[in-house]
Amino acid sequence: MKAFRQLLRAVAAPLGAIALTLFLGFLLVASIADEPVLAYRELLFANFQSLGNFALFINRATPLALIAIGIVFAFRAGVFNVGGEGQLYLGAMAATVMGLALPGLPGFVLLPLCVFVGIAAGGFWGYIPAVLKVKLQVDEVVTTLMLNFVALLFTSYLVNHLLRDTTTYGAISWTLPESVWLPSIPGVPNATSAFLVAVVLAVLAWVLLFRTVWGSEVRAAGTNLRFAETVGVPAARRVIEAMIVSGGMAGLAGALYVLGTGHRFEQNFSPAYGLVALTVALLARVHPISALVTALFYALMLNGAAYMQIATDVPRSLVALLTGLLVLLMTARLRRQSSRH
Amino acid sequence: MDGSTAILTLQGIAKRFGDKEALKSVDLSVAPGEVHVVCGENGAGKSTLMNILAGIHQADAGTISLRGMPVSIPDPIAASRLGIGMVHQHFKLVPSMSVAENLYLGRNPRKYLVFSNRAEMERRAAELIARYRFDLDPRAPVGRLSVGQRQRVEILKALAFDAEILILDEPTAVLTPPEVGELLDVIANLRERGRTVLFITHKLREVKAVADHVSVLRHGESVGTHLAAEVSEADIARAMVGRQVFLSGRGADADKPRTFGPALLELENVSVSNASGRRLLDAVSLAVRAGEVVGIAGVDGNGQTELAEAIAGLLPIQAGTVRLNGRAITGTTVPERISAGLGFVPEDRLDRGLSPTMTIAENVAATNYRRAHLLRGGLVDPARRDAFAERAIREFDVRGAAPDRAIGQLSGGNMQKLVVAREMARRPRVLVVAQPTRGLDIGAAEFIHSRILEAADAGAAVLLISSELSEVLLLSDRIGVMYRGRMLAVLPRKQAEEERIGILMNGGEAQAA
Repeated sequence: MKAFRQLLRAVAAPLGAIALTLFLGFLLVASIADEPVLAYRELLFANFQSLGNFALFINRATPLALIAIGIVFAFRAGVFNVGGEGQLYLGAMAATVMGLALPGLPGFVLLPLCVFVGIAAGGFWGYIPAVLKVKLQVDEVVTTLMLNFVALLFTSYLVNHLLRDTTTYGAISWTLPESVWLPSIPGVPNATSAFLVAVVLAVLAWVLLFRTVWGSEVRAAGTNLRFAETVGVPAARRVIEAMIVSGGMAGLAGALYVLGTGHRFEQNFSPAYGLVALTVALLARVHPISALVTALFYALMLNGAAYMQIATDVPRSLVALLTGLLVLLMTARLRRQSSRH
Repeated sequence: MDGSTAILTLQGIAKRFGDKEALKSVDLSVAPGEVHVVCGENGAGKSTLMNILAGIHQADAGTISLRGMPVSIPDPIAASRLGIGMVHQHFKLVPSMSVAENLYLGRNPRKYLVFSNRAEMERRAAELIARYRFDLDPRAPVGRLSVGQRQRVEILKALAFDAEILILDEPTAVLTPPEVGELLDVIANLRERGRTVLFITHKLREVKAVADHVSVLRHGESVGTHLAAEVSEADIARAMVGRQVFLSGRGADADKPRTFGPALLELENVSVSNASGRRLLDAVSLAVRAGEVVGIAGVDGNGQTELAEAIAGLLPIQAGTVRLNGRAITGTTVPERISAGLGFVPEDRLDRGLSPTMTIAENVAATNYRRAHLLRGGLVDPARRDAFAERAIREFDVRGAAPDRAIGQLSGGNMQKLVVAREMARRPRVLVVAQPTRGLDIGAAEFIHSRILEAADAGAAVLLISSELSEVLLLSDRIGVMYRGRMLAVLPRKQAEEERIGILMNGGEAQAA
């Protein structure tokens, strides 16, 4: 009961901010649209009107949730990981290359292999800035951001020159063998079962961060490095480990996107998932479970905006306004809380 | 001194913040041209009272009279117009600006009404500095000054406003002992020039020499004003706490024969250099036996921090050996040393001692997860962890603390108690405590002292590092003095007269030792 009340208190403020955002957004829509109620109904509920829409919603939320959970690890270790996008692309590319390289292997061997190399590629892309930060005090915001460009251009080269499906247009790789395609969520055709993985990992991440000694060491290193050293935490190692986990989660998001949704590598498959996930992690107060919930909310808005644009005269860019407003309202609350003591 | 001759009289001042009564009823009478010390424990209401005088807060009740006339002080500008200047504990200076610019910030002399007249400003600043015989360069950027010099800039800033009454809020808290001496000279000088000084502190010892009157605040009430010459430190301590204070340690009964066990902590020619090759520790040798308290005295910055960190495993040792319980631990990691029986209370609780944003439970459990069985099936058991923290909170009498609160919200004394609780929970064979009572009030300091002595009584070897000489003298069986990274001497308590230690602290006898 006490735990429940605590949870309620923790989510009350974010929910309040969301409600206020939606209300202010409604005023905005009402002032420009002929049918504000319809626009809002599309924005919020069109995702649930059909199983097809719902599947698209799930597919949109999954990579966001996975990357955001990873970013939670980085943040808790005191590292600002802006490199989610690059880690995502490398993970997706590694899984694609593996799947295309060994198409003859049976699915139950090849699928785990694809997932593994995806995680490894993303983890490696998190390891580089972590080591640079720990050993040479190189600012991780710069390195993770720059590595995004390296990863994006590198995968772009690969998909355009080595893996391109020459039977079609666009920068798209050959399709992966069907043996490694992830099944859909039972009862929801076309919804990637990677979402279930995200749900399990959110819980696992919470256990790791808040119920293991490793997690308390990561958080100690992230909040006060000199304290961590003093109480015997191998702080540098924990920071690196957390960044490998962070990059690995983004790599996994890429691999699972390819295996579950795209079935091949597309050069522009991510609408800046990595950066949106950064916002998601921050709005979720750097908590893995709320990161999952926030990712769902973001996916709802992103997809809902498209339906809204089709059905009414409200442009989908409204959603950018709403998310901006949301960030504003959430951080406004944070500020007031911190000035109180 | 009666009300008619007083320059400043306070009657029945009360102030409440929300449901907290900061001041209940304070009366104070200050004579012109005197140094008046206001003593009180942390939280007694000293700073609130001074903030009311400086116009930062407004009193809920009571009257303030200046030269016999009742006045109201709605804001700091009004205070400075009335001739009240305040030097805050945390300086309010712009580091990138010069001394002169800081002195005349917001009221710099003008040329042609618009341009700042730099030459005139620097001339006036130099004049002001010369008048009070301060050692300051008006053109030096404040960011490059020492803490003591910055404080003098703050004092000058108040004087530049022609402050007749100068309020100094805990001015010694940020100073090293030699700087405290210089500050006292400055205050004596101000008194000579007819200024009235209100001096807020909880360490009477330092200021007794320059004080004329001492007033004591306790729990938001004034409990009396005394002539400084007529009261002892112990009298004031008792008035501040409201009961007899336990001021006996091992130093008090140095004649009592004690027997100690084998040496548990041994340092042999330990040397540490920094990156640029400067010797921070220079061939330090020392042994602490079971049941013994060895105190290290010295002016801050003579290698005490490095000594503690070298033993704790936080600083690589270039030469020499550290042995714990007979086993060499020179190159081992921090966790290995903790397992070998080392407890370490670092000198700065907010820097190395704690992670302020983490909960009390996590801070107290940090070094104890496995040893105190706080895990179940490999996972942290929150119930056990919280119970462990509850026990520490109870044993160390930390009021208003719950395991799930952020530890940074506690007072300094309560934070320090929990750091000590965490390190003591393992019953360490060797306990290294650095500056254990810095910034604490008498009650908390007394409590921590008794815990340190209990650990020694139970057979631990205790190394106490403190820049408070009184603390070292009070607790130690033997006293070592550090100067420029060297251990000049380790004296038995009986031979360690305060004067001799003082000479050693300044490098005297360096040749002999």
